[in-house]
Amino acid sequence: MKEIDDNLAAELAEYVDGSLEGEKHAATRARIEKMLDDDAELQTLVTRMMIDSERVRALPRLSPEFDLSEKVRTRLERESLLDSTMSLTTAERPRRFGPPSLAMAAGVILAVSLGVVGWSVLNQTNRTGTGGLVLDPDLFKSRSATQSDGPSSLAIESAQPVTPEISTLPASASDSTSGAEKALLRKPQDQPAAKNSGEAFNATASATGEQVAPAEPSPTVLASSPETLASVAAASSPSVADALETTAGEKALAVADAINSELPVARPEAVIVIEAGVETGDVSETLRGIRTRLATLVLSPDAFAAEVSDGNTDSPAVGFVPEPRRGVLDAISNIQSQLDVPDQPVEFIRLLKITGDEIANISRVMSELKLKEMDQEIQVGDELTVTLVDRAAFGLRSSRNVSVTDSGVIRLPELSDVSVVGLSPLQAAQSVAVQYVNDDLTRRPAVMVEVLTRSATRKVARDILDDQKAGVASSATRPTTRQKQEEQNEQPPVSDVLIVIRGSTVGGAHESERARQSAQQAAPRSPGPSTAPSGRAP
Amino acid sequence: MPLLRPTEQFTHAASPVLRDAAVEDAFARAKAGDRASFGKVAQQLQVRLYNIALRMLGNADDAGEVVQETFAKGLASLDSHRGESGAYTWLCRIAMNLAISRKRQAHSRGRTMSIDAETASDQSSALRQRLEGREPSPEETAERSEEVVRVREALARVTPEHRAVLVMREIDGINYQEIADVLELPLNTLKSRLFRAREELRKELMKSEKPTR
Repeated sequence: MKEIDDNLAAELAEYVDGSLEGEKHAATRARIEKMLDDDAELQTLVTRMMIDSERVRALPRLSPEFDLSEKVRTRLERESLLDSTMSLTTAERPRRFGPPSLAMAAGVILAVSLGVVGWSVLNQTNRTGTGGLVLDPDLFKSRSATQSDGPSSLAIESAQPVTPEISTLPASASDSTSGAEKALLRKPQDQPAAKNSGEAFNATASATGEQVAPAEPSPTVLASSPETLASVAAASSPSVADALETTAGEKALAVADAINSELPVARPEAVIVIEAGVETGDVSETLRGIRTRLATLVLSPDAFAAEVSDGNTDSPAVGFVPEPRRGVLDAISNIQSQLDVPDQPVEFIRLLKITGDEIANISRVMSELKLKEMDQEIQVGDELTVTLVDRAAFGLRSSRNVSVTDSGVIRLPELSDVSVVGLSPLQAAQSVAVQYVNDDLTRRPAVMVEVLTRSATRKVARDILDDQKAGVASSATRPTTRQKQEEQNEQPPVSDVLIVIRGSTVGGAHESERARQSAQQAAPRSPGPSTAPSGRAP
Repeated sequence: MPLLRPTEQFTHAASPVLRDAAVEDAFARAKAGDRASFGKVAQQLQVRLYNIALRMLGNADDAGEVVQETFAKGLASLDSHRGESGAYTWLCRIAMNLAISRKRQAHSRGRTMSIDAETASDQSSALRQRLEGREPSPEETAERSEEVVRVREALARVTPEHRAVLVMREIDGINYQEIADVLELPLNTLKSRLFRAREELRKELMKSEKPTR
């Protein structure tokens, strides 16, 4: 059978459809029919296609078993009702002072602690350049209907940035009270007057035990006084909880816009949401679940591809450096190790890092993050993972590891060289995306660039391994090697190297120090400033 | 001469109107702030979108969820619609993306797809009908006929990007340009992809057809 190129395929598709009728297409039609006359195999194929086409068209059209637009209408009706009811102030809301369950208290602790994680991630990105904690508010929204009828369904908003350094809790904290808990269990009179600050209450925890000073004009409230617990109880009322969540959801969307305008991760409904749904199992299981979701939903190429495929992003490019990922995991592990939460189920908790006033503040922080990101320049020898998601081809994804060549470019199949040296991962991703368009390889590329290994990391690791091989494991030589390396690269080795060489048998005092730091990084549960300090080794 | 000529053998369903005036009007009002009008849009388009989702996913429950999610997303992002496409094209694009994404996620989770799911769905649907004491409609009966099962199973095995083209062209009857708009493809690419999709469907159908003597 004749080989069918794309032009012929297009014509044959039209022929099968009967779209080549009329005088206008007479010549094309005649040419195809001549071709079919000459090629019996092709003729059979085309004929079969016509029959198949009709068979598919004959598939019955079904009606859904229920009205699929009903959910939309319900939502619209609820919005309409809320417009008129949510103007009520919190003071008008009945407050209940019923005894909160242990699960509820645990929920508060967990929620606020997760707030710490949320802000920790943001601050982690502050140090490292990119990333963000972005979970799907649709989960939040879709579950609101099903979860709100539970007796202890909570909706918690965290107002101000929660200090990330949860591992530096004061030593004076009692043994039986975790740091996060301690932050929660402050006296009500210590709280600003905003404990009933609207549709939900705000929670802030402080690493140092000091309340975080709110960046104007947002109020900051700690969340574990009897009043706030009462608020939680009030929130557990199905109707109130439902209203809270809906309102929070709307706010979430508003904040999403603000975040998206600043974050390299663009996503129309991006919201900083931490969700801890626990219906069965203990808290630690939940945290593991959250950790998995953070890792997969937020920071992986798969997650990126899924975002693009879902049409959730208009951004052509995303850049990541490895540290945020580790930071998230470390922060969560720290919380796990510090939480003193009983092993009993906690009902649903949600933490939205938003309030209306906070939008501006978030934007400001994000701007700072963007500036910091500029510091994360890609260097010659860096290893990158470049993920292309072709939005014009249903999100077909391909990933490739590449090294930055000595000439400062990366080489990808079929693509012209792209110069990336001196760019941030995000900028590199943008350059690659533009190149895909310029080379006419795809019309709507979305590109994610992730820095896998810094060249300095690899070089120092190689130095150390070489030293090992040579039996030059003395502590005296290594600083020299490192100094030399630093001079060459004009930047100190990044701390990743400590993980790279962890477990090696290199001895010496210097190595011991290195191993200690390595262990610190590898054991995030241990209290102390175990999250990577700044991506740089001392 | 070819064995068949399309115009001699088949009549083609008229291409449905993508820019239905009533739908577009309701959609425009929803965008302008009368969000309740979006409910009308959803009501008008749900059956078309449902059938597209059904043939993309091969599962009635998933299709229903995708359509609901499509409306929810559409409502939430009304402001992002820039007016370059009509309401149906826009929502169809959302539905397609959701369907493909769902298919891919299910695949990555190792879930048994399409055929089993569809059979199970059929069974549960039939069970529901029995419990409800109602007779299946002629369409539902047809859906379970041997020929239909064979075709839909073959369709379910076609790659999602090919299936999308086939579903929109053959099931929904949309014209080339409109499919190209939904899928954001150049027109000629769309046509050649349609041919490749038919080729793939042919291969899949051949697998299930009894050998002729």
